[in-house]
Amino acid sequence: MRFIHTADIHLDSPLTGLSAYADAPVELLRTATREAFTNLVTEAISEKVDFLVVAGDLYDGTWRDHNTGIYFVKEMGRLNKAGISVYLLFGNHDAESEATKRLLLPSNVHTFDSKKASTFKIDHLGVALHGRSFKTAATTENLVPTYPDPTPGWLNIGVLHTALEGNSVHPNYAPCSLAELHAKGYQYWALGHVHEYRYEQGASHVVFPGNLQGRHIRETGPRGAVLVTADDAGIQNVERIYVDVLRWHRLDVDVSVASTLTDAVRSVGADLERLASDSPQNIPLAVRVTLTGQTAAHGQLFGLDTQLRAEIIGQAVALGQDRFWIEKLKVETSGVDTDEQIRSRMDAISDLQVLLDSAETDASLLTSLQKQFAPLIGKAPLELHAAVPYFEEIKHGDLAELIRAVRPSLLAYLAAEE
Amino acid sequence: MRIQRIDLVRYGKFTDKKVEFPSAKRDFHMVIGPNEAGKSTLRSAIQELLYGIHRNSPLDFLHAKSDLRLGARIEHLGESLAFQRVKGNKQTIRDMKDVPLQDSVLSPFLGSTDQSFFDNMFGLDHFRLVEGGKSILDASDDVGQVLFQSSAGIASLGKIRDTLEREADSLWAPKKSGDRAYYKALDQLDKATVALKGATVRTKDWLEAYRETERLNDLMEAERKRHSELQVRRGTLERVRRLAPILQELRENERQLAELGVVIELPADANIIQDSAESELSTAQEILRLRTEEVTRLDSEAAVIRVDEDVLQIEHEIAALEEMRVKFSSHERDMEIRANEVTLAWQEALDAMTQLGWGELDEEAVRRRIPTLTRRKAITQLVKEHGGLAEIARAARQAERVKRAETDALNAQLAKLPTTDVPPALRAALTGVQQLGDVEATRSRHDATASTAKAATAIAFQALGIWSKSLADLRLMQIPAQQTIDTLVRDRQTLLADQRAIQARVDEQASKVSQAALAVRQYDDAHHPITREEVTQARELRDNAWIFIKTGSKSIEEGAPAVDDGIRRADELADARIGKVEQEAEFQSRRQQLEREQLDETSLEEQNKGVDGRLEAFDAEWAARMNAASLPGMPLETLSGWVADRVSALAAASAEEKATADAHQFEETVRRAASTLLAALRIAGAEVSDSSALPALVLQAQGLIQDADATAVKRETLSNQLNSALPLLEPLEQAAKDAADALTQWRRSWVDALNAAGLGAESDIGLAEGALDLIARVEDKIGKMREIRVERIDTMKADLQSLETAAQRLCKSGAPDLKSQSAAAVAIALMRRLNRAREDKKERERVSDALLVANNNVVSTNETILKAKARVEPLHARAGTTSSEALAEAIARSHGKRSLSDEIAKLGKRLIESGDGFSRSELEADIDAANLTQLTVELADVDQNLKDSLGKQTELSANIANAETALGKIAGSHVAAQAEADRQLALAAMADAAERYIKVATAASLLRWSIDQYRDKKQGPMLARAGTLFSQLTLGSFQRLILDYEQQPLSLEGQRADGQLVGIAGLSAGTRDQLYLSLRLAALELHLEQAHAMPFIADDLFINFDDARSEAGIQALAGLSEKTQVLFFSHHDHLVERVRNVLGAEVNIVSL
Repeated sequence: MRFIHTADIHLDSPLTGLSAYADAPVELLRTATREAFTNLVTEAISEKVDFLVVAGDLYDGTWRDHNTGIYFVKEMGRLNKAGISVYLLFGNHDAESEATKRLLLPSNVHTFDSKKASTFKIDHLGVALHGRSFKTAATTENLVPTYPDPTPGWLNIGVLHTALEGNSVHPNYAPCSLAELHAKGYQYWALGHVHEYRYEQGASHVVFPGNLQGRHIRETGPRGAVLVTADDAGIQNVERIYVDVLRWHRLDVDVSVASTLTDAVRSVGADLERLASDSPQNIPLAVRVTLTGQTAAHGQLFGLDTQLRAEIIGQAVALGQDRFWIEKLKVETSGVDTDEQIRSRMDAISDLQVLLDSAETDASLLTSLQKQFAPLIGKAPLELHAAVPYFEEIKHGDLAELIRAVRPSLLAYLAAEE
Repeated sequence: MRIQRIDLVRYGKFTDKKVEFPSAKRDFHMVIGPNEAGKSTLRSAIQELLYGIHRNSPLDFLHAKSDLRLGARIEHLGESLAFQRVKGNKQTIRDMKDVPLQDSVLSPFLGSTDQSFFDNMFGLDHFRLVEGGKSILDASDDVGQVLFQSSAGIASLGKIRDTLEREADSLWAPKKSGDRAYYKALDQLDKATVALKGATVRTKDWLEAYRETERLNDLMEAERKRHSELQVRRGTLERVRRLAPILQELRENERQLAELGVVIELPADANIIQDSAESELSTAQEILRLRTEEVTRLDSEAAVIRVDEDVLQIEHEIAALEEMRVKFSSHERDMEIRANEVTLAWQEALDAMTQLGWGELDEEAVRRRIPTLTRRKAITQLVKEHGGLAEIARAARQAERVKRAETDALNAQLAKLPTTDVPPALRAALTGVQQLGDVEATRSRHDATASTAKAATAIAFQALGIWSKSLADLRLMQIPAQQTIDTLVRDRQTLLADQRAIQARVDEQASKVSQAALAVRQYDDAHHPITREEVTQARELRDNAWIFIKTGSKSIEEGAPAVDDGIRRADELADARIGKVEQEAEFQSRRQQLEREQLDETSLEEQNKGVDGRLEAFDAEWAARMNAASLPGMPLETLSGWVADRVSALAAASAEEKATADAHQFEETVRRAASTLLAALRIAGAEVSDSSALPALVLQAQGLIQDADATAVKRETLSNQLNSALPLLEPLEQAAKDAADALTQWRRSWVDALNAAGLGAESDIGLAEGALDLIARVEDKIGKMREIRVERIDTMKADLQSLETAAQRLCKSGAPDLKSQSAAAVAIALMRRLNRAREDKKERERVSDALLVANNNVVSTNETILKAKARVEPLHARAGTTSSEALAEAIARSHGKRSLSDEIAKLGKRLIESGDGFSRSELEADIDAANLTQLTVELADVDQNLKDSLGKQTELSANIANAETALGKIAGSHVAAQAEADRQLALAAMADAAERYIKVATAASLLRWSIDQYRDKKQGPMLARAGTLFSQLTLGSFQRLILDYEQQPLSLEGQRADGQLVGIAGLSAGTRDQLYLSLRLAALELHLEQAHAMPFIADDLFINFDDARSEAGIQALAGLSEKTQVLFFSHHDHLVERVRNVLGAEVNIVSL
């Protein structure tokens, strides 16, 4: 007997943080979460699994387009035709969604009640699935005690949307402890809510399959569901299956040895090449390139950022147009010369450094900068406020951090320009 | 740090080359060499020595990259280090035995410098100088930038700031623009937001659309059912309406068939067969009658046609006769015209003969009278010759007359010429005077030369100044040789140079003494150190006070306070001295330094006095020597000049003597020549007086000689002309005689020829020529008459004769009746007969052909009649009839039966086919049951209902389609998801642009702000020092640099000696370079006051400087060389001298 356990599908949730450029594989991202889900359904059909468990968060709660629900129903229809049942539990996002209540689901889809824990029994397999959907998004009570006792002699699967012991990244919904889960007497806990894959094996198998498709740079690495194999003796195997269509990756490149922008680009090119050979060819990577290290090229990297970005994109494109998407380029290098070294030069640059050190306390400068940025921040859409560092600080008149960040780069740029 | 020595062990073109930079007070070293000598290599070597050999060093063209090696000895603050630098990744610093050293071994020498800093701060070459000059021009309205660029050696500061500001502007600015990255993305965001809004479907909307579709589908179902029922009813009514008439007709036909009874059946087409056969028979019989009549008619036509066979027999001959007749028809008329022409010609011949005077002659007599052609040609020839002979005779006579007149005239002129001559002595005397040339001019020249020479001598003697004796004394005086003078001058200059050098050192030492004294005073003021002497002195006071008490000089009460004071003071000083022992030591050290400096000063002053003494002794000895030479007070340096003046004065005196002698000699020569000429004139008979001046004598002699010479020339010319003319006269006389003889001979021939031609012998040329023309005309007319008669008239007569002969021959053979008629009439009559015969023959042939066709037609018509009768025969046999009428009736009955049966079958079939699958009995039942009169009304009613139903269905269908479309749009479309993805793309692009904007704009603002700050802080000291250097470099053309606070932004200006201010833009390129150099050197000096010194490398800085400014530049570098080592590279040899001028002959010059 085999089943697939998935969660946190977040259908039609957009991929964020990617800005397009000429050779970027834009089309891929526009329907990435759908394609990942279609891949999962196709996988279920081709693997001929016995059923599918969805442990919450089909949609984004704030997503209003009913088309998403219709799409889901169609995919369920495909499973119905293949004779595969689906056990669907609603999580915090689904609870917010109007579509959830209105969907006309095919007969193969069974949804867990939100008023109390319910059980679906699959007689011919000897499987009992226990679960309770979220009624409201902010479900903060522990639901585990409300779940029924296991059915003796059956394979008991608990389906639960939970933050499990207060996961810090996600809201602390339906909290419970791992020990509590193990103590419940079920063989398998099909969990959802936490987007990272996690597998705890004890008295029972407790599994977060992770979300189906990474949607931003904080969700790196391969994504998908788990394929669980069981027999009369219980759970035999938990295997990850990857259905994502675009993967996120952080590439930190140490450019300490680079003395020019070209050297730095070459280092990035080499690391990208390595990454290309280490990654599956059929899935493009959205890569955040972060340059680090103390480098003589620090000034150039700051001053010629546009050129740097263009050349790194060029390196990525050269490795295959659909292999990489440079999500962002972050220059987190520092100059070769420390403040102390620059100061000891006793030349104009060191004089400039001394002056710049006092810039952050020069009220007229700070006021003029704040005034300069005010129209930009004032008119920017709210979504941009979260996306741009310094917006909040500038709004509150705190520009010291900005000046401290720009100052060494500017000095290095000046010193390198001769 | 300074470099003592650098070893180019294996580097570039060098192998084991050592370059020394020995220490000196002014640490200035010049490296000189032409291009390619290796200056750049040496410069690169210094950098790579100190900071490592670059991994891609291009200086491996002689030695392998891995073999590159440099060595050096460097010094800093009394420490020195000898080391080598090899190429590699690690352990590249070695000691002189090639043992690796720690990299940090160089740290004390290099301080915190790195290669880039060293190169920027301590290196300046021509290119950077020029770039620097340009950059301060670009930034001339920003003093801070000018100062900063000059100080840091960064020329591109403004460019960097501009680049940052430009980038910021391309990302975001308050003004919206499609070119700015942020707004581009914002535009995309807006579009995507609109798209998202348009594509998003709320669940409520979907529910509504779903329910509406369901409702409309139910309505549609009901309407379709009703429509179906109406269609059934309409089918029944329509069928009854359609089939009722058919059924009625069927039933009528069945009744008529029954009434016919028994009928013999004949073929269905029997009536057609009968009709067509009878019709054919009737037609054929009519045709047969017509064709028979045609045959008869043709036969009678043929019988009356007769053809004239006889005429046809001679058909060709008649045609030939007719042809001749037509051809000769105009002959009669032509012959008359030709006869007239003959008559006319004869008339014209008669006219000519009358003029000739031949009288009335017949044609034959005329022919005989005409002279032969030979005789007429002889006369013509003589006429031609006569003109030439007459002209020759006339010309010969004329020539003879002219020549004779010419000789007569020459003889007359010769007879009139006078006879004169002059003696040769006069000619010789005149020549002697003329050889003296322009006597007055020569005399003036001699006088002028003598006077100029005299004046020159006076001037030359004046130049000798103090000399006051005679020319002879001057020639005889003894003076030292030039070489001796040179030696003495050199010796004195050496003494002077020594004096200056020592004086400079004395001054310098005095300054050092002052500085040392100041240092002692200042230190004393600052630290008040307690000296041992002060303590000792205090103790002595204490002890003395005690001695007063001890010796009883003072009572304890009196002396105690002084003792206490002394003890306290001594203890305080001793304690203080212990506390300030370090300051005291330093104070002591400074005082000792002062003493040392003072000692050195005294020593130098002594040396100075010694040199002064030597110089005085030298000058005294020289003065004595000059007094002895009568040149008292003559300075040594000017003696060489005086000697040269003496040579000039002696030369001027000699020149004056020679000029005077030349003038005297010339006057004597003139006098002798005048005397000789006077004597010769008298011999020649001229009247002259002794007092006559030389020019008057010369004119008189010239007049006599010129007259005699002119007469002789004329006589000779006339004699020559006469001698040439006389021999030509005789041939001319002979020629005139020959021409007259030839003319006489021609006249005899003329008379003979006229006689022979029968023309009068007395005829002149004109008459003879006229007669010949008339004879030719007569001959022409006679000839023409004969031609017309023979060639034209006789030919036509022969033609007419042959026509007559042919006509008679035909009459005889074919038409005797025409025998009496003319040939033309015969021909016409015969031709008519022939044409008629031909027509008759053609008509007979046509009638014969038509008859043949008519007979054939009769035969074929008979065959048609037989066939028609055979076709109708079988019908009679079947119907048992014999007459046509009986057969027609039988056929009509048979046809009636067949027609009814067919109609009944057809109607029965139609009834079933149109009966919608119902049987005849069911249809009959429906029809019989229907009320046929109300059928149309009922049908119209059903049709209306159907139409209504269809309309409703159409409306419902459209509504359903709309509803389904609306619902279909909610069929899982991903458009909204895509729009949201596009929004996120745009937001990311906006975030990127905004973030970068904030950084770049901050950087640009920081840069601008800090440059302003820099200016405020640095402008004072730096501009002051730079101003001094600028004045020095521009040789005082500018005095200082001024900051104009009146202008905003502040501007930097140079101030000239007269106070005029010149902005940077107003400076020439060269002066700007000098300004930049001033600023750089000032910045470097300020830097050196507080930072680690490194060698300053100046590479070919003065390419664009003239000599004076180059020297000023070197002076500035020399000043710098007192603070740090200066290595001055150049490929200009002439700068060596400038460098020595500034830094003395001992300066270190390295030649590569």
